[in-house]
Amino acid sequence: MDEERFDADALIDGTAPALGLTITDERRPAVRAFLTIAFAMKQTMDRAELDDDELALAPVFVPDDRPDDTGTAL
Amino acid sequence: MTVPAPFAFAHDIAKAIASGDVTARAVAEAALARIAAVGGPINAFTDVTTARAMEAAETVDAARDRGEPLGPLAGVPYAVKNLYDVQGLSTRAGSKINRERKPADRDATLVTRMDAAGGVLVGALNMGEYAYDFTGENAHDGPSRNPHDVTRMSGGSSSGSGAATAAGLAPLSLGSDTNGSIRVPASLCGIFGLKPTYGRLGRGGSFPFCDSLDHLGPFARCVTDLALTYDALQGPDERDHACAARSVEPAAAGLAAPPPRIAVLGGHFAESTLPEAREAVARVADALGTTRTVTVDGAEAGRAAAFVITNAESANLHLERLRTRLDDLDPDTRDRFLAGALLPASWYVQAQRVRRWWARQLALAIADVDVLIAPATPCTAPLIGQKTMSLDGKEVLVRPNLGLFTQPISCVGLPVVAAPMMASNGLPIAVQLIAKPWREVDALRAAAALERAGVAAAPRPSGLDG
Repeated sequence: MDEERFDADALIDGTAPALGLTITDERRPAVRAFLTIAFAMKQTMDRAELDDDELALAPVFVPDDRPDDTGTAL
Repeated sequence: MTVPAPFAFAHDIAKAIASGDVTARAVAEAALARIAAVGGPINAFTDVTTARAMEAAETVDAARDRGEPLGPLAGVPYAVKNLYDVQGLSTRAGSKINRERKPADRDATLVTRMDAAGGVLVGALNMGEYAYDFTGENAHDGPSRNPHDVTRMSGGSSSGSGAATAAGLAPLSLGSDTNGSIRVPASLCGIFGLKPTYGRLGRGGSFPFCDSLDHLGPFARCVTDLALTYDALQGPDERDHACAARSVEPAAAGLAAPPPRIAVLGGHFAESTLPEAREAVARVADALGTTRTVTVDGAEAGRAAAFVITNAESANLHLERLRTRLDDLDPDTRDRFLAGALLPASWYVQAQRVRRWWARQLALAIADVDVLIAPATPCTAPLIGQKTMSLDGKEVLVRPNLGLFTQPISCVGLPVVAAPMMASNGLPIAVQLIAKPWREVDALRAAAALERAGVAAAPRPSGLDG
């Protein structure tokens, strides 16, 4: 997806209802602007040449018997 | 019996109390009186804990009277960013909404540690809403103002922490740093700050912002105080799943010489700065005797990953508030949270992968370096309300770009000391002294060497000697 094809409004309209969020006309320009910044950040990340095994492993739940905790995400 | 001057160092205050030159009660009374007298225009405090402070001070005095050993910070006033739980206060985290929370029934882990070292809590401090801030502005409580020029930003989001310690209202303060929120106010206000390694200091009882990037840490007016406070705060924390199970590694006693291998961080960190930041880095490199520059590719991607992770995780944290309390959020945070809630999942997962990749790039590049020097902020304090600034001839937004050089470092959890100095334009600025994971002591040693050389110091704001 290049910058010209990034459609922040489509993302807003497609995603906000699924999250129970209402983006009013008043808020839309600012939300659109921040999504566009985030998309630029995504493009910057895309320039990093990652190997397939360059993973950030998902948090792994480790049962823990510490009194104030229910587990440790490593 | 003489009460220490307003800008006295914490270790000198503790020494005076331990020797009987002054009582902790007199020190606490003087600190509270100063907050009342000169703190108003700075707007650093949101709560002043007078009764608690006097009780804690009297406990210190009673222990001394009984001949008991005193902690390293016995009788020293301190204050905490208002995202730390303080028993009896609602932990507002800079927000309007959180004021409806029931008062905390116990202190945050680090408040407990400060008290165990003898510290005297004098209050809770202003901050950017839910810590999503680099400016120090807050729609609910007003901005924390820079003690060196109250028309200028204190930096954020630990704005009150930076302003209070810079103004001599609390010799020590605690803050948090997710993308630069200790280092930015340390730079703009001209004090020392330590962002430790991710997982070093326990976050139990602090209101989160972005769990995989949140760090807590101290501010001080000299390196000895910073190291003493850091030492007092260390130790495992069962209330924080990310706190490493490491034993205390004391730093304060080992600051006699700088680490041998020091280099300037080039590339991204040498671009997009104003002259004040470039001059500060050059002065520090000269004082530490290095002409070496290390350049590593990928910092921009690392910063982008930090941006996306922060946006996505924090929006998830606040999703219910975004659904039901939108009008009660600060306009400067509200729309960013809304956007963060809508980010595609693959962007977030990619950000975590890039974060790991960037950590590896940086680790390989600095394998034979102990401390890296980089700017903390690209500029000195902008004016409150200023939205844009000129960097490299381009007009850019102030708010995100204050973290231009801090975000890539906290993204991968490295420990950093922000070391302040006065810039040629008459305002403070700091440099980052970046060490390898778990080597906070190296950054502190470099800062101590700069302090001995007369390069790094917390300048006193004029007009606040009262």
